[in-house]
Amino acid sequence: MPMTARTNSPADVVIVGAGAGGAAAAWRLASSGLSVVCLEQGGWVTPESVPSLRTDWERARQRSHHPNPNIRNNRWDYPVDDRDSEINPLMYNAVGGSTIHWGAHFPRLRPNDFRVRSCDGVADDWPLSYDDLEPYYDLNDDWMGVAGLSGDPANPPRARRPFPPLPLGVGGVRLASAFDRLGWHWWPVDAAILTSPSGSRGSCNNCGPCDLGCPTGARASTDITYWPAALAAGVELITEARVRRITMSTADQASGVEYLDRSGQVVQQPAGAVVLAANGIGTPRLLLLSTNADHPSGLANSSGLVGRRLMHHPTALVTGVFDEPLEGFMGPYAVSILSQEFYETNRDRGFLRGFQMQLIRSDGPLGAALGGYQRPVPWGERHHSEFFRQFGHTASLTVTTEDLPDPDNRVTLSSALVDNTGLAAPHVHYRVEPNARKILSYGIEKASVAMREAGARELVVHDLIASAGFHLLGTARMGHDPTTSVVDADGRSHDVANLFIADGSLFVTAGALNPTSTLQALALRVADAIVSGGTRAR
Amino acid sequence: MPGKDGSTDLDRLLDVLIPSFDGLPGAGSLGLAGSVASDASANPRFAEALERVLDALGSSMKPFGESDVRAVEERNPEAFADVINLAYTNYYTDARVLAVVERHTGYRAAPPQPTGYELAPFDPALLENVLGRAVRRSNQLTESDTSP
Repeated sequence: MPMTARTNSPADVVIVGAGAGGAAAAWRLASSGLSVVCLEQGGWVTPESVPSLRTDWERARQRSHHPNPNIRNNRWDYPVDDRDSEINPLMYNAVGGSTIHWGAHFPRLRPNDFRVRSCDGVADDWPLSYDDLEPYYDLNDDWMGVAGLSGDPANPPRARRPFPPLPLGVGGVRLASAFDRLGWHWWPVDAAILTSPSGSRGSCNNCGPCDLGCPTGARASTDITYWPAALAAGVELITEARVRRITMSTADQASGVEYLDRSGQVVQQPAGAVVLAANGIGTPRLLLLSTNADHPSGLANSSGLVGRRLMHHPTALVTGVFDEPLEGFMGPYAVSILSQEFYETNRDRGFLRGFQMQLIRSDGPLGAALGGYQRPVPWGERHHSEFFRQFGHTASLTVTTEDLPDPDNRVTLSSALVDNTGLAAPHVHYRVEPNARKILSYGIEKASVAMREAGARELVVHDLIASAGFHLLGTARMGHDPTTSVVDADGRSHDVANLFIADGSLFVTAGALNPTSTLQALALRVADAIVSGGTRAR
Repeated sequence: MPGKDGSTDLDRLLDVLIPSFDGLPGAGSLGLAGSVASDASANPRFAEALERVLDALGSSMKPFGESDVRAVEERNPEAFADVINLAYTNYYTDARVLAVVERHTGYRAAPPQPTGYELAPFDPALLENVLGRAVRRSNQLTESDTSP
């Protein structure tokens, strides 16, 4: 093991990860007067480097900017051993984390998502309620910037959205009309995308590929939302710093973290508290890498649940091919309308909980040819006729399901793969649980009904999108009982008094909605708990 | 090795995969073999796939058509899929091809940024039905709550 090259000055709090949760926590902690160091294994992504400024932007999406780190193979990334997973985990490592490459769909969980055991007799209730989290949702909305419309009858009342909704697009209007005729719920989505300029951020210009980055700054990512304020509040952000373990002073007190700096030297960062915000795979990986004599099966793991209960939101896709052009290449690809008609449990359907349907617009020419949402365009004599029959003529509905926690769906350390510093890669074991399978089948049926009602001439069904592992949840769950949870309702480890978690690992159940607004609200709440707990560097 | 007309096996394969269209020659005649080969060389899996498919097509002097290529695809499905990825990736990111796509669809051949497309205002009238249903459901619930 390399020797320590240096020891940094102590901080009140060290945060691992500068993404969705880490940025929010960093700002909140520093604004409350604590000294904060944040360690991020990636670097800054500049607006000028965004591939959508280039003609070959779709090549970048397939190669250098692919959401799968195993394909992208950026030096900031670590590989993920996903050979035992039905779904490929996706993430991005940089200041901003995976918000650098996301679609910015920004729903909140619904009140019943926090009480699944009480409502349906399965899984567990969260140790907090929607009402507990609501002020943090509101605060986070202010920072990220949300376009949308209050008044959704399927959700609790919420503050007026400061930016008007994105246009639905031709396909969105068609599907909304179809939902109306079917008598089903729909609503324009909340999107973390500005529809008019604000401060240093520009307005959305409807370009499409939000996942590749947004040079106008309209689509939120924490490098342009929280980070400027966090840095102004005094956070020291150290980039290209790969944390390799949490260090301990006693059996139940962390002393800080040890990381490799960009030159490969080992650095100690002492801190009064450690906050892990490295996502639902990176956080359990780090806890499992931090074994010691007092914690032989991984730090904070007396429950045995570190890494377990991984939830991804299994997703199916139903694509309609229409005779009329829908111009789906225009507009933020992932955000238009959603339906929560089948979200809550109806036992007559043969499964518990439910799903959301979210309209996806469509791909650019290359994505269409390769068959991202529809069938791949055949090669040969029929190539061009098939391409033009489909390109710009499709709209898709995702069926995103509740993903009940299963302890066998888990993150361990790989015995086959290491990262570019020699640390064991995470090994993901994931199978779609039976309840979610039933939801997928039912959801495909309903999405198909909607597509036909909207006038689709042909349907293309993807039963399970293996490449939709965007959501990394549940691997260090919250709870009151130390024997059945990793952290308490404040995100504090039951085993290590000054160790906190502030990312998707905290989720007790997954809901069936995109998790970023919830995990950020949790991160802000965890930060407040740290502040009120009086953590100081020592 | 180039044939009599100077074309290579990869040129001819690309022409079969993506034939000529609307004034554009096929992908090989368009001169995409170089970028396809370069793209493949950056990824060992793609490089091996391309080599395997070209080897399976046989001697560079032997002419081949769609049926020959389909036979190769049947024998090497995974490698062939990677070659399709290479071919499509380089074809549909070529400015000349995107110009044709624009002519036929309204898709703009320029990069998505910085221009984008018009951001039309949201039309709140679209919500009349969904809000009306919510009011009716709410009224039904209220009536059932107060019924004896």
